[in-house]
Amino acid sequence: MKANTALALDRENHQFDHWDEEAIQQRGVSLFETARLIWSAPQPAEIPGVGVVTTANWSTDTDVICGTDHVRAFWQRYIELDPATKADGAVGGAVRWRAVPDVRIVISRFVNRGERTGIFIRGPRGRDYEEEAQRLEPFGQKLEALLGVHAGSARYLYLKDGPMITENPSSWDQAAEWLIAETDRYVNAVTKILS
Amino acid sequence: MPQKWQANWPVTGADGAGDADFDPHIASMVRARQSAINVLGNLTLITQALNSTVSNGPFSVKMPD
Repeated sequence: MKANTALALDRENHQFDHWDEEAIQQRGVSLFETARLIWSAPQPAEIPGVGVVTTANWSTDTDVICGTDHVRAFWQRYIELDPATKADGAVGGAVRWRAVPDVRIVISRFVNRGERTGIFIRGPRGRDYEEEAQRLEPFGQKLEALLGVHAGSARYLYLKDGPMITENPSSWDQAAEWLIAETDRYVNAVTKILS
Repeated sequence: MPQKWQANWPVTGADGAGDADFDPHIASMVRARQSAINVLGNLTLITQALNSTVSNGPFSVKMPD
């Protein structure tokens, strides 16, 4: 086999001078580690222009993903202005979400590419985008009426763009206040319609 | 470890005895060996021809020094 196999995966077989359950276990662990590095776990979610986010916390707002300094500063200001978020004590990141667990909805707020704020609805972590869109479809007219935006793509449901932010702090309050108001609007809407 | 490991990869103490005659320790070792056959660490990619050649042979033949 040494002479007839040139696969990289087989090379470490050469280090074994006997083969038993222990050797099999060792090689299995080694191969798994290789596979884990090559094929990382599926990314749980993606925010437009931002990338991947980690697991939602149903009980609090959660911050994720490293942002630029001014984005971090923006969220800091946001927290100062939004008591509900301030109580969580989370700072930083380009995305913040607020879970509405009673109706299994997450309201995701983001700063896209360090400048464009926005908000949209998604389902709990791991839920298929299309399934979530289908779940909300019967409530579409009511949601559109209350949110003032169409359902749009399944991946970013009821996506609404907000004010731009810059490195100038004067832009932060306007954007934060818009996001705070929209967050309340979204939370109230899904709670009212889906409960 | 081949599918048919009994000939060249025997479990000590299991030679010549029927499954029903194994003492619990030996039976456990046999089960462990059997269950190790189709796990990731025991699998490799080789050509069909080479697989037929090495077949159920001993390790010393499959991986000579």
